[in-house]
Amino acid sequence: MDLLDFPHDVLLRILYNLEVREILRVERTCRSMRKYILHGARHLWLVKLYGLDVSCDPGIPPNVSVEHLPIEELRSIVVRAVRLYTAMTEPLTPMITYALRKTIVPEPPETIPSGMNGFIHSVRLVPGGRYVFVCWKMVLPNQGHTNYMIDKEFCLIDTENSHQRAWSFDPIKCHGIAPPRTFLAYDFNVQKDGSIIMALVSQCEYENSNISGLFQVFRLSYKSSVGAFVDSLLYFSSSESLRKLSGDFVALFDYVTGIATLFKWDEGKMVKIAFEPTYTRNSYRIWNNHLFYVEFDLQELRAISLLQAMEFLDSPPDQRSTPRLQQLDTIKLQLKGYSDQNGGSLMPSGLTGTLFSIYDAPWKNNSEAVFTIISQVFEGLPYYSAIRAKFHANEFHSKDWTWEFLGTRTSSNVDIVSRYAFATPKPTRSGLLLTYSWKIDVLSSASELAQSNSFPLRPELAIVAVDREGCPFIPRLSENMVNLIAEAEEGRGGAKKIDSLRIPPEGTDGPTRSSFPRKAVKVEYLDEYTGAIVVSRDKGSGKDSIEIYYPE
Amino acid sequence: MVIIRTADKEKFTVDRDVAECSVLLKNLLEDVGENEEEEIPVQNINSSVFRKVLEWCEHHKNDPRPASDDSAAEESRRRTTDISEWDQKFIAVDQEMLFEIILAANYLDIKPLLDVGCKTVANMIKGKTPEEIRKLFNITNDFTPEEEAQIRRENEWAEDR
Repeated sequence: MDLLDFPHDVLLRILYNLEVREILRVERTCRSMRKYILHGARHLWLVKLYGLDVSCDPGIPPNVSVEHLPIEELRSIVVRAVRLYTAMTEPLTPMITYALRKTIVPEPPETIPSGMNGFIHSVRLVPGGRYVFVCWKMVLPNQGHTNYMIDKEFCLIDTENSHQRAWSFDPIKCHGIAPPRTFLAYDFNVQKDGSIIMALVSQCEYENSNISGLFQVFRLSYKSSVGAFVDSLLYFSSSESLRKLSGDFVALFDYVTGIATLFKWDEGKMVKIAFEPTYTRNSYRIWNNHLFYVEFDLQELRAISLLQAMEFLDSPPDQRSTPRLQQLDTIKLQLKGYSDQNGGSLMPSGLTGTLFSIYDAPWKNNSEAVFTIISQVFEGLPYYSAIRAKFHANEFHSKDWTWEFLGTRTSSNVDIVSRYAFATPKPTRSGLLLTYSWKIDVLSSASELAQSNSFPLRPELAIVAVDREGCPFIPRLSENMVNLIAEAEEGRGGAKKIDSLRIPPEGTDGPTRSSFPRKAVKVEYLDEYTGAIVVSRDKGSGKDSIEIYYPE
Repeated sequence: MVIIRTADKEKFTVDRDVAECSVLLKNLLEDVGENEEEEIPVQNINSSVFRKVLEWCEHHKNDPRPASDDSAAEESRRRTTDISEWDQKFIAVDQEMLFEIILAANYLDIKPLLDVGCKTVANMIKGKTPEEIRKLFNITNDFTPEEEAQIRRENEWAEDR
């Protein structure tokens, strides 16, 4: 009797008991078995999804119900999660393999005349992977002594519909007079009803150095009758001097004044809270309706403050007074015991690479959350260290937090050693943290490092991962990704030049694409939910393309 | 006591609480009421297999009846329990008998016995290569060499251990 002669519910029961890698081996035995497991065993993949280890986060976008995912997608989510996890936790050669899954070649916006220097300035995936936000910029010719770049279009590209625009927006139109230089920042998330809330800051810089800022929050709802997204403006403000967006709430941080402004959209209205920190060297994260706020100076982390944005959830809308922030607790970090093997103290130094993240453990019904601070320690060999706390999602008092101090699980022969992170690292839900950092070449020991007066540095993209025990470590990236990053880094010098290039002499035709060297490849970012790496590529013919690499 | 007749016409006289380990028999018994003379036929099961199943039911007749929650979340939790020592000895039979017991447990709707059987088959699969799994269950490999190479590449990471 063959396994396939069993009624399907019996076969399912057998498969429930196998680990994912074992199921994949059963898949390989014959065609009908493969067909059944790939296309017929929906309940199996649901069971395996629910049974995933907490630290093996499958990266399902928020507000997407797993019960409604197609079986092929379920299987691929589970296999990807287990595979990524396996790759990260293999003791010998932790390796993350990336494969190119999507190439998008959007048409440049019509507002950029042909022959002009329009290019893709930034790209971000909307959770789910079907839509991407794309920001187009253009170089303006002959405006004063420097060349200016302005934002020409901000749009949503539908990757499943011939790369058509599903929504588009002209960031300059609302400013009245066209400025010579613009700066655009945005953030978004997907709501329960599937609409996208997007906060957008555009700043214009005029000839007289006047800067005007515009802050807008849109709700984008998909209208199937139109086949596109339709926007409605939820909030509009011209007075903010704003720099950065982040979080579940829309939060805006002005790093000059240190003032954080939080917004929450509610019943069609935006509610605003301002928060002025006591110390200007600080960092924020938003998690649920809490603002986590860390102060530090050059020598040490000073404190973590937890603040709660009050009265959003507790009182009915008509009784809501001005929301305020309540300080829940301040945690003073005791860095004692944070020492190397010889008993010497290992203080995080420089703190340029200090970053922290908070994420909930989705497989515990979001009742548990993890707070991780990762910093670079330089003492002998540089390595990452992590301070990690797990806490109950509703319990923020520091007495209930258990802090663990963890060193990087590296040995002396690890050849990717990071010292300076010069891009803000992005935490992902799979516990991965992405950072650009320098690679120190062919240094295999502390003594070798000590003998070397100048660091043989070369740029490297390092992903700092957190393993099952919570220890940070640096997995290797597959060769294609390493090459891609090297290619992107080679163009970095050229990319910087674009802002400071002098105008061409009188009588020439103005700047052409070739007179503005731009890097051919740009690693945009690492997607928070899937770990996908998004890359934009200058094809040279005025057509930029977007490439999306997924971890396999 | 109830009387149960197997496919090969053998009659078994069984304690009611032993028979009620089977959800199917329990429902049938409710239908016939207190009429103990009536034989209950189980068409799909031979006496040799049924004897084995009864042995299991006899031993487990006082176990609490499992709740019937088949949701995926519940199912993933259920996987963690091991097979008890008695069950391991009980199920140490040849493959043909093992498969027959599983089919009987499925037909009679005895979930805990079905689980023991399925876990045992799963344990046989664990740690084996696809070729070993084929040999174990007499599965014919109908992939072309190209297809097989392709699938092997996809699943390479899952191969070792």
